[in-house]
Amino acid sequence: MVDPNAPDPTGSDDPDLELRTAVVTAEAKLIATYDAVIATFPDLADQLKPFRAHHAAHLAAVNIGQAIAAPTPAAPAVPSSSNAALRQLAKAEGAAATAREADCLHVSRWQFARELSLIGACESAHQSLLIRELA
Amino acid sequence: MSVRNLDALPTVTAALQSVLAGENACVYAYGLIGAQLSDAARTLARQFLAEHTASRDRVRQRLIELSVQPEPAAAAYNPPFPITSKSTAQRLGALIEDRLALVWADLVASARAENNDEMTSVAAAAVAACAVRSSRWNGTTQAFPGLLSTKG
Repeated sequence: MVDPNAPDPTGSDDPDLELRTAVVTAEAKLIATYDAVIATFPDLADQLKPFRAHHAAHLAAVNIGQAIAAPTPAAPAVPSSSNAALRQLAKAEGAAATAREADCLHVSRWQFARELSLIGACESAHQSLLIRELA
Repeated sequence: MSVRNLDALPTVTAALQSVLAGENACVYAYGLIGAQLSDAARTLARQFLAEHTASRDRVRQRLIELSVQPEPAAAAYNPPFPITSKSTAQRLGALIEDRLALVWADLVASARAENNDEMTSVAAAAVAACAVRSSRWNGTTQAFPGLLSTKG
């Protein structure tokens, strides 16, 4: 049983370092996608910036002690219409939510499982909100 | 920012009883919420009530399967503020979903610690369902659903 009062592991002592690295990479990619969409469609900024901020919070929480060098992914291609861009984001959020839910099964520390379930839940809510925006 | 508020990890059985209590509270609250709503919002409340009722029944069944007596629901639950309007009803809807998201997240932790993959998956999906329902009431979400809105 992990002592809940023990400090979070931050590096090679972290049994979940590999999974953390994958989540940091996924969140960095989502942030890059939001940045690209916001740059192409500034009218969407007010709506999308809070979602982008949530991903930045996810990345910071998962990358405890900044033990992982967060990648800076290349800007992804943005569809030519704002609706198509929102659909692209909704799809990316849905994929991320599914991945985080699956990750819960593979973590070593239960604290991280709990955290990942909340991150995935946020991404599910993003997906739902983006789809409703299109409806 | 570290996302944890568990002083000690409950057993899956204890976490399931907490989920059952939370689902019962939600079922009760949706009665109050639906009474203040009309049209599409009322339909939504009815749909969410049905989802919580079904979830509550599944959790009860799981406890019985574990040879544990499910805790009964309370006769009534006091809302944290008076539910007298559409806006207070929607606010309560978001709040109870946020609270329940965290209770299910505790079950994720317990189930993972006990290597119970099936329960971990069920619980993680339930956390997401709560966050989605909360977002339907307040049009937004949080980085860690429930952590801020339910503090204090």
